[in-house]
Amino acid sequence: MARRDVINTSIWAAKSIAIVFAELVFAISISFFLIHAMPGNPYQIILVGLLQRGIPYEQAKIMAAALACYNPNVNPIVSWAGYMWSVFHGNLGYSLIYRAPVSKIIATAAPWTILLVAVSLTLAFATGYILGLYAASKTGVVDALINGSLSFFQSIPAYVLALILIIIFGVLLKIAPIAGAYSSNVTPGFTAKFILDVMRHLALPLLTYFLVIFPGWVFGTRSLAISITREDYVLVAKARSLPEKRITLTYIGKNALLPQLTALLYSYGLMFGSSIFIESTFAIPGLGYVLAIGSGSRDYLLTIGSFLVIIIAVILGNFIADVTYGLIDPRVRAV
Amino acid sequence: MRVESAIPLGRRVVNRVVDFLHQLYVSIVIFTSTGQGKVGFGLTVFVVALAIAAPLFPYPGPKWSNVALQFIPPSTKPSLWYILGTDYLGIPLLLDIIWGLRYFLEIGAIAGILQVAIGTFLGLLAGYLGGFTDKALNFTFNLLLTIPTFALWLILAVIFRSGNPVILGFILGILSWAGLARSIRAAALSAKNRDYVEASRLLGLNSLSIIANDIMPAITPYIVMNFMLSIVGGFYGAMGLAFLGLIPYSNINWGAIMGNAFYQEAAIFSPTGTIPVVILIVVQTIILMGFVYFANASVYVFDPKRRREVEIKLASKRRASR
Repeated sequence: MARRDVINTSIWAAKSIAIVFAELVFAISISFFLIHAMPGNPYQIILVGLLQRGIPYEQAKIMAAALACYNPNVNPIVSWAGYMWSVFHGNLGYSLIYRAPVSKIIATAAPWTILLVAVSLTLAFATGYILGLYAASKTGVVDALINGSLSFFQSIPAYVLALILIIIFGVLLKIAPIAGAYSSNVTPGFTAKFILDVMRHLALPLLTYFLVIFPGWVFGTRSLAISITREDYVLVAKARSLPEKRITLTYIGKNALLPQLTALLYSYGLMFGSSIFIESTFAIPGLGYVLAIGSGSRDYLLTIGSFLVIIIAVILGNFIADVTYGLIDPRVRAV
Repeated sequence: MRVESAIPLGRRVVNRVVDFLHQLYVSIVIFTSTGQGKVGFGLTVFVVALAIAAPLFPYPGPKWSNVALQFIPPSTKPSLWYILGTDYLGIPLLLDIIWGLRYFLEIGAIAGILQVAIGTFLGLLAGYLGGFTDKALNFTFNLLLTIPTFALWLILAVIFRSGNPVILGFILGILSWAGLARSIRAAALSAKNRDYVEASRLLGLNSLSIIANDIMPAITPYIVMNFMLSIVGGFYGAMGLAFLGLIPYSNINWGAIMGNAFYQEAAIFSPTGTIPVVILIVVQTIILMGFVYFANASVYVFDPKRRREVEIKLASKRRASR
């Protein structure tokens, strides 16, 4: 029995890793074809820039191919393989507007996005779960009120919500800064002053993020809890006239927690894709902001690079979620 | 089959039409039985009607632009079109809103039709055929779902540098069918094993008629909901692209007006400048809320139990009135 378990687990692990690898290759290929499709390809732009600096043509050609990590003058398949090779080595090309390697820019941008996503998602999950359980246990006015107000929040796009918060807190009340991740007169570092300044700056973006995503968690928990309420063991618990609170917390709450936790693990990856609007509106120098800036100024390699990093984050996030889910729930591994 | 062909064709067509109208009536009754449904249905019908009727209103082109009338507050002074004030080019906001509705709905409808067509076809194919086709298609769906749709849409929109609703809708539709395909596949898989589908297969009915008569009713809610949500997605996305200034400025794209107010003119810091932004925020929130409500309420319409209840209630009412 134990040996079969081990074999099953290793087959399952090999399968997951193979799928992750296929997804990565697919994502990088898409990025490659996007670079191909761009009007006026980056290789040409970099080549012209190098020639203007007085670098000899033959040398400039080699340098441009390295900087663009893409060479249009060879066979497309060789070019694709070259791109794949350089991406797997962490070379995403050279940004024209920042005049620095794309991977370096992304390395400085990613922590902001990770901070925003992690904090707001965790908060949204916790409050959404509690509120969802509450909404499911109360029917009538409270439920309808929660439902109605959440539909309202769901219908506002993130950037509009950001704009509303900026108008209220930044323009009318003037209590929160409306742009940037920290003040220009504060030097970044691990000091109390810097951390406080960052917290002040991130308050509005975090609130926006939170308001955008937490209705989904309330709805999810609520429908899950309602479906659990119809289970036989809840009915039995009610027949035993156990206290309402105990039924909600132990019988329904615990059973609703596991699927929601899994969903939370999956969301960490997905959230990176939705950061573009909030980061751009508040000028937080994260991945989404870099992506928007890059595409707005036709810095193709920067755009594609940050896009690729976002996809990779999604793929890895899903993979981690798969693995942990498999650890929590052995039934998954048996497939 | 033989029994049906004994009835003359004209009568059969009339029967079909009457039946369709009756079903439509039942759907509307169910729709409007909840508060959310009422609001959603009313708003959606109104918005779609307004978008279709947009050509009856003057197009807010460059000739309306007037620097002297830049973001004036709501008034009836130059003409009644100025009832909601003007945008940052001095163009009446009311006309921007009406023509904008048409613009956004065009994007959403094109994206929705494409998404529903591709998603339904491939989802049914995977769920119904099963086997290797199913495995390959399902793998493709999951692969596509890892791509952040909006980021890719943004990049493609920037490549084309176009605010053209057909292009934007087309790109969005091409990118976003995978989620629908996956849920349709799941629904088709579970429908396939139901007894009535088994019965139809034993009766020797062909696959097409089984899909049309037995499986389609089970997946219609997904399709309607996805269509509505893709319209919402078109709104969100097209407005967002213009808000960030990534597609050419167009005064019928509300996102462009809001983004312009926020980034370029810094108009939201002046008291009169906030008015157009606030009006646009209120208008788009009401409209999107209508669509979201519509999508939420549409699930009940296809619930067979609910339908039967309503049919019985209607029948008893008819009897009572007689």
